[in-house]
Parts: sequence; C-alpha cells; structure tokens
Amino acid sequence: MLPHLDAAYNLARWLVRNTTDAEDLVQEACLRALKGFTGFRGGDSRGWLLAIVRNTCYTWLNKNRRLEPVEFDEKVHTEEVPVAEPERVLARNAAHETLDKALQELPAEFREVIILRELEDLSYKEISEIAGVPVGTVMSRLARARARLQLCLAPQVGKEA
Amino acid sequence: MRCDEAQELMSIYLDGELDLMRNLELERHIKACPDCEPVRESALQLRSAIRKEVPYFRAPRSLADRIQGAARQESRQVAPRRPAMPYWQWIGAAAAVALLLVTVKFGRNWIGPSHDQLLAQEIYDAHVRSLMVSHLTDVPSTDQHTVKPWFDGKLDFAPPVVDLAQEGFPLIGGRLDYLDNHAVAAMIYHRRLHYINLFVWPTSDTQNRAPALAVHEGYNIVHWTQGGMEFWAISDVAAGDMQTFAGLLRK
Repeated sequence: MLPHLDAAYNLARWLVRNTTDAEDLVQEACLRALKGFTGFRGGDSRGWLLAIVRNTCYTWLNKNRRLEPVEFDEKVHTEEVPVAEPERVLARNAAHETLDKALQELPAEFREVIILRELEDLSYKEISEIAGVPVGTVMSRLARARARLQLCLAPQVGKEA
Repeated sequence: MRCDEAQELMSIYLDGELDLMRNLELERHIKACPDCEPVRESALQLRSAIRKEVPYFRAPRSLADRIQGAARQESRQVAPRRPAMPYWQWIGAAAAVALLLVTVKFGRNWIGPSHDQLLAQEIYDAHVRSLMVSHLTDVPSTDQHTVKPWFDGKLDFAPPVVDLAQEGFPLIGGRLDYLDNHAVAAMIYHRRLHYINLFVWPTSDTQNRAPALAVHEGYNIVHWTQGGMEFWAISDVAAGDMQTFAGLLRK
C-alpha cells in the first residue's frame, strides 16, 4: 500500500542515524506526502517522497545539531567550503575504520549522495532534484565522499602488498 | 584523451552518466593506458565494497501499519471540524481522494507517461547534459559540408544538415548522442546567446507530422517528422523562435 517505504526509511535512517527518530520522521513525511498528494503533478513518485523525507530529516537535524558531525554546522552549510577541509578532518583514523562507520561520520550532504547513488541507484539528475541542488554539486559531493571512503580501502591493499 | 581527464571522468563514466562520445573515448583510453586501469579498478572496488558493507535499512513491518493508522486517525480528526461544503466541493474532494487511492495503488504503471513524454524527458536530459559538461559539439564547425561527412560512418543514416546562419540560427557543430535506444545525430545551433540542440534519427512513421510544441522544465521542445526522420529540437529560446526554427528546417 505504501510504495517506496523502504527507500524512504533507508534515507531517513542514514540521515538521522537512529531507528526511533527515523521511524517518526518517515511517518511524518508520509503523512505530509499523502496530504500533499493533490499538489503532486505526476512524474517520479519515489523522488517526490524522498525529497519530502529529506526535508523532514533536515529540519530535525537542524534542531538536533549536537548530534551531527562537528564540521557540519559552520563549514558545510556555507557556500565556500575549503576543498581540503572535510577530507583532512575526516581522514583521522581512516586506516582502522569500516566503510559503514566512515559513511556515518560524513556530513549529511555527503552521506545522502552516497546512499542515493549507490544504494538506491538514482541518477545524478534524480539526486539533484531530491536534494534541491544543481547536478554539478551532486557530482562534486559524490567525488569528495568517494575520495573519503576510498581511504578505508587503502590500508587493506597495503596489507596485502 | 589525457590521463588526468580520464581519471577525473572515471567515476562519472562508471555511474553511466557520461555522454556517448566521451564514453567511447574513455573506454579506448583505459584499454591502452596502464596508469588509468588501476584507477578504474579501485573505483569499482569501492563501489562493490559500499554495496556489500553498507547496510540498507528496510522499513520495519510495523511502520507501514503505524503510518496507515495515523493517516486514518488524522482524517477522522479533521473531518468533524470542517464546515459544511457545497456539493461541488464534495465532488472535487471525492475525485481527489479517488485519484490518490488509485495512484497509490497502481502507481506509475497505471498512469505512466506516454512514449513522447518519456522521450521529451530524455531529450531534456541530453540537452542539459550537453550544456553541463561543456560537451556541446564533437565536431565544432559552422560549415554544413564539414558536419555532414563527419556523421558518415558514425551513424547508419545520413541526417540532413542545414546551416541557417542567414536566418539567424547559425549552425555551430554536430555531436553524437543516444536517445530512444538509437545513436542519433545532434546538431547544435546558436540563437543569440542560446543554444538549440536538434536531434535527428530515422523513423518508420511515413507520415509528415507537423511541429508540436511542448514545454518541459522550462525548455521549449518542438517535435516533428519529415521524410522518414524524427526531429526533436530543444532550447530555452522563446516558443515563437522555436516554431520559426522548425519552419525553416522543414522547407
């Protein structure tokens, strides 16, 4: 009866990183989606729902900032992010981390592009519509997130050699 | 293609988001280049590691029940507070609810977009992509006699290539693209500061269909068929200009 519920829950769970809040937020988003259905002009219903889930989660994240990575507040929200910064800050302990944990510690904007691209298999354009940013921004966030996650794989290669 | 360019495009390529020509160029480069192959390998490794190790959290079964319960409760709470509505509003509301139920139940299968709508989306994607990655032309030339032979051997048909510089639509080049499961010819025209992408490929439709204008995401799309070819033109220039453009090409 509720299409795309798994996709909605997975995104929320990755954005807020705990089960209880993810469930509450998905419920809230679905109710908003159902209410707003008459405003839905056709097209991609999954993308439409995911955009609502994302907005709901970001509102929650803004209220609960202390739970986010420290870098999130000041730096990621400003236009000019020094390119080396997130990589440098987040690169600590990379060698001992699992991918799962590394992804959890990325700022939300970077986490979501990985989830939407790799787990939901969405196109750049679909992601850009959900996140409300240009395709170029999606591409650069993906590139930076991947560069960061790649650090988790590097040590294993080193050990084998 | 240079190595730095190839490596920068690698993940876009693996995401399947690179345009056809650069896709081919990159594939050719990787095959021949010992430095770029490892870059491709490690990007693939990362992708499979993410898909293997990063958990996909499925919604607990109780969540769907909870949401449906809450939706029912909410509609019950709202109902008594509503003032009496005139009958025509009830009809509107009932229609909206029916549409909602039908849409939720049958989703896109039932009210799926038509072939032309899907194609318009593809055309729009191709247009935006061509402007976005600064890959407007494979053969930048204002000379139709250069552009036309360039398509030879790359396509199994010969697209008509016309320069309309005299009429205010100078041809600036050609490109290969891929639409509706064909390799297609893309011709790029200038209109003042705007670009028009014209996509052409053969059709089995023998009728000449007159230009039909549609708007997609703020872009004007004109579609017609002539002489066994499909023509789709897209741009952000005014609708009137697009009609003129189509008219000139059909002469």
